[in-house]
Amino acid sequence: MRTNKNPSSRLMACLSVTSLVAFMLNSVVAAPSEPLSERPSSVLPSSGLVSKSYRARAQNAPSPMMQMPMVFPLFIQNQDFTSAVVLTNAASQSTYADVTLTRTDGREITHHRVQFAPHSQSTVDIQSLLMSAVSPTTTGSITVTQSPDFDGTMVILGQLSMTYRASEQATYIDEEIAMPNMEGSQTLRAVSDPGEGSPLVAVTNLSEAGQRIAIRCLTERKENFSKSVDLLAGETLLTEPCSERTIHGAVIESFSTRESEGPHGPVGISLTTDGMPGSIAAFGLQPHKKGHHNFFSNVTFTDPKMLMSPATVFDGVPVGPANLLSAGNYVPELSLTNFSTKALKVAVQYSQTSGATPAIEQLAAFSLPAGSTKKVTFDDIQGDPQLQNSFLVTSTGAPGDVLAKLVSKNDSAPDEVELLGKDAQDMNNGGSNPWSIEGGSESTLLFFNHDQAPQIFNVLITSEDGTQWDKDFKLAPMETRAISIGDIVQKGLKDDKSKTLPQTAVSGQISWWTVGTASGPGTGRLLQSNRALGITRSFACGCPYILCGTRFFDNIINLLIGDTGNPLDSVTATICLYKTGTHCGGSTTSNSSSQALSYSWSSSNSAILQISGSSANSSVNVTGASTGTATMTGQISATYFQPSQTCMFGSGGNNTVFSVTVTSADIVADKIAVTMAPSTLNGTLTLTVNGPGISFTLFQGLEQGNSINFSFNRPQLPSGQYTYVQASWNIPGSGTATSTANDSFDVLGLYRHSQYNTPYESTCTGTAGTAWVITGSCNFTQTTLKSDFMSQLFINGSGVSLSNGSLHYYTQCSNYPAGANSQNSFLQVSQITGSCNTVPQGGITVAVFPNPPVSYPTWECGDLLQYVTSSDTNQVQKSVQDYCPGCNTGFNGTAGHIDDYSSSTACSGHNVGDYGNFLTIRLR
Amino acid sequence: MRWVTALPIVLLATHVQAQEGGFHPDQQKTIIERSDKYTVRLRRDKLNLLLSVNKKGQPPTTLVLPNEMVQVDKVEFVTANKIALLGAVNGDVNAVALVDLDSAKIIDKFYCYAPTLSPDKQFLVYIKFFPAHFVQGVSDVYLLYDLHKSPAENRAAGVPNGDVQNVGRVIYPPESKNQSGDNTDRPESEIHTLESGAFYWAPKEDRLVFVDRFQDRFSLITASFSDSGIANIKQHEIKKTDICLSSDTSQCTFTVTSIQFFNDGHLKLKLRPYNSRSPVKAEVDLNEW
Repeated sequence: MRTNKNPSSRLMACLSVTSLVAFMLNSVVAAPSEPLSERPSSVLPSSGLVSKSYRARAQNAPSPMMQMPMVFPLFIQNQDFTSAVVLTNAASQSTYADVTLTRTDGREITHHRVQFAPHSQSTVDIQSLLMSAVSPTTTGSITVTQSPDFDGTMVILGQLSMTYRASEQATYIDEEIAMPNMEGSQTLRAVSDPGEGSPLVAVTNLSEAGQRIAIRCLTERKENFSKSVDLLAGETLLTEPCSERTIHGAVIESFSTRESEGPHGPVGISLTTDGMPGSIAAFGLQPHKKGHHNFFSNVTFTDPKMLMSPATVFDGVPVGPANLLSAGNYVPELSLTNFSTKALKVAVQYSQTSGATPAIEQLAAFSLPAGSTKKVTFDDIQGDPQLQNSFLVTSTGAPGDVLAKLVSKNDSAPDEVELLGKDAQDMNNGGSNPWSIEGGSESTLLFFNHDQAPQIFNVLITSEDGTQWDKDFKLAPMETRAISIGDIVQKGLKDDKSKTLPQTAVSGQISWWTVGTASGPGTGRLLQSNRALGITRSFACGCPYILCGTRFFDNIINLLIGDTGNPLDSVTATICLYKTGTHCGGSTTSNSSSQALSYSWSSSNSAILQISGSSANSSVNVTGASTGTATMTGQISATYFQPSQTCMFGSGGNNTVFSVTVTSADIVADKIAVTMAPSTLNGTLTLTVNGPGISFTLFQGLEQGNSINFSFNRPQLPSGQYTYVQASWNIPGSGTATSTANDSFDVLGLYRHSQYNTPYESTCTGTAGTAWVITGSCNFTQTTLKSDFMSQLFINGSGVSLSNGSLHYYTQCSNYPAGANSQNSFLQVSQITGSCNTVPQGGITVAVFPNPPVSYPTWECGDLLQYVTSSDTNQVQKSVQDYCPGCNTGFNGTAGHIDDYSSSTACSGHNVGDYGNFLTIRLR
Repeated sequence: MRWVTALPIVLLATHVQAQEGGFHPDQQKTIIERSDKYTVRLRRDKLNLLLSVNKKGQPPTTLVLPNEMVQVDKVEFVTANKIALLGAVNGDVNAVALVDLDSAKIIDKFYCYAPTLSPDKQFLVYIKFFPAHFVQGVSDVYLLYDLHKSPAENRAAGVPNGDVQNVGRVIYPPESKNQSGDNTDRPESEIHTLESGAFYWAPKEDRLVFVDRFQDRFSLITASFSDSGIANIKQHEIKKTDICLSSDTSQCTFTVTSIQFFNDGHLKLKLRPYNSRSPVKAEVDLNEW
């Protein structure tokens, strides 16, 4: 079980807080002695209770309207040291911060307002500020106060970069900003790597009351040292924690002579005040001497109450050769102090990522006695030259019982590379860092996922011109990843939206974050280095990012039925710098579609909008299943552990599925039924009738969703074969719905329809003449037929006689008797049939050219013909059953000639005049 | 022969064709034609068609046309004393009657299809008659009637003047003898078909053009005539591959809906497919004919 700590009030660099610092009050707390108490080794599992717990605390906290300063307890600006404050604005809006320089006696030297563009960085040169104030001061502290516009959400983060120039080669000291909090403890702790004597520590009194500070120095030899010092209100006191020397009102030069000796090994330092928790800030320098080369390492203090776990992460550690750093072989050296009253077990795990899979190694496991300090050197391990090496140091104690510091010493150069350890369960799940690739410098993001599950790191890089580059990086368990900003810029690498940074970009700001798991968030830092100049600066300023909102985008508002919007809708997450005390609130830093977040989609009516494929992405593919309007809702969620809360935001919008349907198409009924839906949409309807190689537009115009019947307007149809009707309904900006309905017909054109019949002898009036009837195999029988009947029989080809039945024209015989010929000799048949072997029916049968039984596909027996008048009304429907050998002529200006059978029995063509000219449509 | 795409500017004339207006015998219009010597007047009287011949200075004579000739579309003076009546016996079959005006008698009569008079009115071309229906294997025989000659001179030896079918001299196909029964019951391989719907005379020339189909091959037939009869006949194949738009020409059939003559000598043929599933070019130009 872990203590239910208030994660909002930890003393951490770059921490977002709303708590008031009530330093005006005199402390009445207990006397200063470090409570080496037994602390719970863990805290409660994160849950919603944590947030409730926080809210209870927040109610007891002072007014959040007062802004807490961020403090750099020590700056040095003289002939040996230069100092510069590098600040970043992680917010997506412009802001400012006030930088105030204070002497060691607590008196203000000067202050300066720094303006920031969104996602930008700014460097404040301390020498310039001192010169502008005409101040001879060389030593003091710095406070940074950001604009109150953000209501307590810390968006300005920073680091003090000191450069020591008094030796052969300049060395660099990184001082992270300290943000004391009254909800922390009265104790600060630090571990210093082995140096030359006692470190020098600057302790700043942030209250307006004096404080007594109990100082303990824990060495390797159990010859621990302790003393007490008094700290005046607002004073920054310089003291050597492992020796007696303390000089009130001193400047750095006061310690230029070495009057006292201290331990030469690593030391643990503890500062305990009798003042209010969070009323002091401290930073120290550990002097080193390597041959003739002097340099300093930093001593960074931590409030143990602010730590969430007994595990410390060091990422991007130089091991062996390091391409980004000075030439040489780097050897990691770990310094640890057990501040507790009992021996604790310590384990050191090492992860190296040279290929795709990290190599994990347990380097050490040992017991660290109570109140002792120990140094462990790892000089026999291999490392990745791209710094893809990380360490995880765990102990059995409570958070803060064991503190560790890691440095990597170069066997070919005098200086060392310092690594700031991060709490494995740090609330800060991201960072805001300055980057620069000016003058041959490199900027490299170094991420480490110490979890047993993959983690996604979202990186937002902003260049000085405001261009943004946003990409997810997925790290395997225990993987370290080095990401070169120079490569991203110079190689034009694309982000997740295929954007690149301008090739001219040389500096800017980086925001990065993870969601994290119960094991804690991934850690990261930005390394600015220049191998040629030996410059190494690490920016590890962390801050808490949180999901705080969502934005919904309708990529396609109106969707075609049956189509899939790829994607139809999308959501982006609003990422904020977490405002302590809120539920998923803060100041916006970016909008993201990172897969580090969880997405889910739902349709209010899946019968209309049907999700296609995954619903777990920032965008969703949706198929229009039926017409209508439904709502798509996208939900983004993320579960955080420090503080424990699940942030969930949903947003949605309406999408309309539209369609057009040709419900029926019938050339005979002259009706095309079209339905456009829904009725809320308006678009251009185009109706065409189509066939192989032909398309004719029947209608084109704006139509509201509706059901409409259209005419084929048959007299205007060009001749040709048509097989289907197509309706297209174009909704501007949304696409075109299309529907077809089959209806096969051939528009033959305007045809002349003559008539023919079978004359009956009974209707004839001529005189009887000699004739022959042919039966069987050319058996000729003389008979008499009326002369006009014989003429009509000869002209028409058939007739029905009075006495000899049905007769046909016939020429197949060669044995004509004397006087007989084809014009007076006819074949007797049982019945008169057309070429399709059917008995002609008046008003139904038609004869065509060429002969239907042998002319397919031009004609086939049984073809139906629809006759249409010039006023587009149906005249009649007839059937092709006979052959008209003369119908290849006699068009009379029309497109064709068809002979229609008449039931007339007349003995003269006078009674069977033309049926008329009609638009003729073959229904096939 | 070759296909061309360029079109000359001058369009001359087309053809002269009978049977304008279809077959509507009950709507027979009165037709009056005059020459220097004669005035003829055709009119309907109940079911009969009557022709009045009025020679100047003489009383008119009236003829009753054969009762099967129920419609007359044109009355043409083909010589100073002879007229040709172009009409129809029904909706399919045309009839031609020749009248000697001096005697006011019908001197010849026959049935045919698509009769077309030459511009100088000396020649009548047509398709040999066959019964309009209930016959199979019909093959078109293209015939010429010289209107300056007698009925006997327009018949083969042995064909009586009263024969209404086997009349005229054969233009095409050359193997035809215009004998009784030679245009029906023919096997498919022997069938000729007129595929231009009509005959087309060149303007002011006794030159004839039409399209014949035989064994699925299309030919442009050109014929020229002199006072002595048929002077020359040419046959030019129109390849389906030059007409049909689909690669498979096996089912591509078409008819020529018109032929236009141009003064530079080329022809423009307008086309229509029988089967719209196998489209053809809308028109083609023939450079030489």
